[in-house]
Amino acid sequence: MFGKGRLAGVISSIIAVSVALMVGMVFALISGGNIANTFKAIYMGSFGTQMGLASTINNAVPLIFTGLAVALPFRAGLFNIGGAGQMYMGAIGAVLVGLYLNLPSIVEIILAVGLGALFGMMWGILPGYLKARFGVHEVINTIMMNYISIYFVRYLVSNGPLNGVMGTARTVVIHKSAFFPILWDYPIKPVSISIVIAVVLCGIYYWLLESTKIGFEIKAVGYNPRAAEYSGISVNKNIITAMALGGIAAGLAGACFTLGEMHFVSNDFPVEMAFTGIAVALLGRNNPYGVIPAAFLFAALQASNLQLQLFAHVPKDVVNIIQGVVIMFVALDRMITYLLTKKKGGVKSAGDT
Amino acid sequence: MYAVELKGITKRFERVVANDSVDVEIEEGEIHSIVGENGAGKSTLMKVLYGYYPKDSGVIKIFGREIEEMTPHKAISLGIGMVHQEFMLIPPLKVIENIILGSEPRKGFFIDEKKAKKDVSKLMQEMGFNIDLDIETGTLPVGIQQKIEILKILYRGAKILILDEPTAVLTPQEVEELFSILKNLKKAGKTIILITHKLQEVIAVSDRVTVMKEGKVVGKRLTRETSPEELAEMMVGRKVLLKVEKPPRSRGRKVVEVKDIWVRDEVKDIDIVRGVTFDIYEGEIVGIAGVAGNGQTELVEALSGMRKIERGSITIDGIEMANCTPKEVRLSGVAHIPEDRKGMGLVMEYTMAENITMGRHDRKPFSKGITMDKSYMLKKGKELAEAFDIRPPEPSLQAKFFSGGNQQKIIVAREFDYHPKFLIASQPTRGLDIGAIEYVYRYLLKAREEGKAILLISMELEEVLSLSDRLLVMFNGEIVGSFDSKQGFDISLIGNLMMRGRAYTDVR
Repeated sequence: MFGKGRLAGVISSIIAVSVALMVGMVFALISGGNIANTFKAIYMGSFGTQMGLASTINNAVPLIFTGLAVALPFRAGLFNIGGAGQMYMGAIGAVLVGLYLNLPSIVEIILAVGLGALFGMMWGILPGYLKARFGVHEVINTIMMNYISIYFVRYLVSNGPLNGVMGTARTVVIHKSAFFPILWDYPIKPVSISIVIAVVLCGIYYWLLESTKIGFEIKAVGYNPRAAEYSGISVNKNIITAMALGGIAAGLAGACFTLGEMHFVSNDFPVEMAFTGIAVALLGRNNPYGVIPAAFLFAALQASNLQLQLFAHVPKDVVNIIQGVVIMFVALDRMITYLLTKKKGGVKSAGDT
Repeated sequence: MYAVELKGITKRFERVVANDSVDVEIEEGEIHSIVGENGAGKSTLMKVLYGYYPKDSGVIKIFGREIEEMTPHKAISLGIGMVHQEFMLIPPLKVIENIILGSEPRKGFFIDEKKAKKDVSKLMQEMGFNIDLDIETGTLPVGIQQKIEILKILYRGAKILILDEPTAVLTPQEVEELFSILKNLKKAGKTIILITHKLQEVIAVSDRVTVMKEGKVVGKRLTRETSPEELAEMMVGRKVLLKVEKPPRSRGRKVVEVKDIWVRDEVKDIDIVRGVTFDIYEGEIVGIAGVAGNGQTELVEALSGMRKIERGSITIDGIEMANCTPKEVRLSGVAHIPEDRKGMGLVMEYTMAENITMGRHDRKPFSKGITMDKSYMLKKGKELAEAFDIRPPEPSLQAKFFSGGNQQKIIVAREFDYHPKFLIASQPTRGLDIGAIEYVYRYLLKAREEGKAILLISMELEEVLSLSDRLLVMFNGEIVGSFDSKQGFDISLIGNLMMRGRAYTDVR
């Protein structure tokens, strides 16, 4: 039962990306680069070299997770801005296991990932509960939850019990047994099994949404809460479920980044990954599979920063401009559709009676 | 000379031809009805005439003058005024402000309210209206609001008035009043175009009638030379049974017992349902008549578990169901055709098969364990599409792509397929055309035959009168009258009860 709007969504996303690239090129030209070199730099920096590919994949992993963290609640009509906080909690969950337990690798990894997901989930459920029980808007309370967890984690790693190195704000490195296995041992940027977990989670979430009772209820609530309630679906229960699923994804972003890449948690844990996740979900049309190419696009743009500056002599801000324009155009989706379908001498603006 | 002459009007939307070379002539000073099923193209035609939509081809002549490119602005200056189905009034503004809005008389920088009031009062005198111009518009009943709409377009000097389904929201008394207003307007030389699908009204008030079907004009008649039956047949394209055949039934077991229930509207801080008591027996249709907003919606929500009651009791087959969740109510054998088809009855983005699954998605055979059984859903969708003549019979099509009538059929099919003991049908025919209405009636009567207890709530008095075994009148949250079809219904008493105790200043 595929919606017929899906193809239109894909086309619209592709248009948004193409227009954004063109606008980016204009800025590249203005800042003294040339188009061929700029394209080449973006390509070489993202997919064209092993180095580029490795960083693109590593950049994409957290974005897939944080994209899912926004996309899933969105299907229930909720805007989860709390990815950052949920991600921080996930990282803490994972690092606790990695620091204090020393078990056979497979067991330790499963526990660490599990605790990370659990912490993220709790941090999603709480605002979901507040929304369901008291009607507190999720945008407000997820933002507040972000502050709480970000500062809590910063306290833990700088002055608190998890501080590992005097004078710094970080934990010590976790036990080797909690390190993720490496799939592709590229120097500096080894690619771990995180990417597999991320893609598998997309598959699971897609299946949940499209093939299960859970998804059926979540989408019904998202499309039309009154109709859902009328037919006996509990809106409140599904708000909490959707936020829990979002929290799990964000928690895994933190856990996988910690276990697969950083191997410790510091106070400059990259919070912006969570916010880019909003754009990823938007570009991916809140579809768990759509999130993957969207995450790779943003990941590739980030990965090509260095190449752009070094070889195309284009400031890395061009990449940010492209990202910004993509988001803008996806947000303007309806305008694009309108322009595409507009007929000559279209509908006149309606006058008063 | 015709007041309005439309020749060969064609209007396409994408691939749909909404108006296909339509010719309509409207004589000056007549009341002319345009009838047709939903989607026949009546409203589109009027919007082309009024300049909302540019025509693809054809000629528009107003008082003999050909208008190249019509716009709403031009339409107004040519003396065309339109009363929309949904009123375009701003509720918090005073009546006078709403009437002059957009064409205010000015005195320097300020609005000349004195002059405005003088002009409007004069207009009201001519029309025989008596409305307090300083009252907040939103507090007035719809009948009065409609008069304000009419005043508004007359104030702008309209000579041709278009009324789009004007009686849909009115009580029988208000309808009577509207008709006499229309006749007065005709006497004053105005030309009136009435868009409707209620054939009794066409016969009652108009001089001539144009029938549309599938974007084309299929017939033009002098009203005195036609009958509702003939018009209905032209509209639908086949013979239509307008009369409800209701075989008598002996009363069975008591299914529903509602005792002294009270519902509070927290927002307005009033008791919106006040001590309502009634029973429904097997094979019985109990109708509730009343003007919209007298607690019917809240009563239905309370019965279906969507709203808490303050006190009282609701039992289904002797089991107390008050303040249960909608799910528990459904499981106890209650089905509900909601009044708000789009807002409550359907998830528009869901397919027909998914919509038919709603509410029982967590049960076998619609789901097994955690997963949904999509092939069963499609099979069931196909089956119900056939049984209930849902068109197109395409279970994987999203609900939003079905016409209003077919959307209603999807809901009716789903609710019937529950095989409920108790069926709540809230405004089941609102916005439907006669073909679909006939169908809904047939299924309600079939449910009655099958021994279900049925509660029918409708703003269409005609509908509750013809279907109900017993009829309750609801006013201001209370049941103010109870009638039995065996004794016959006293229509004027029922109408009075519906209107009883209304304190407003419209005294004619």
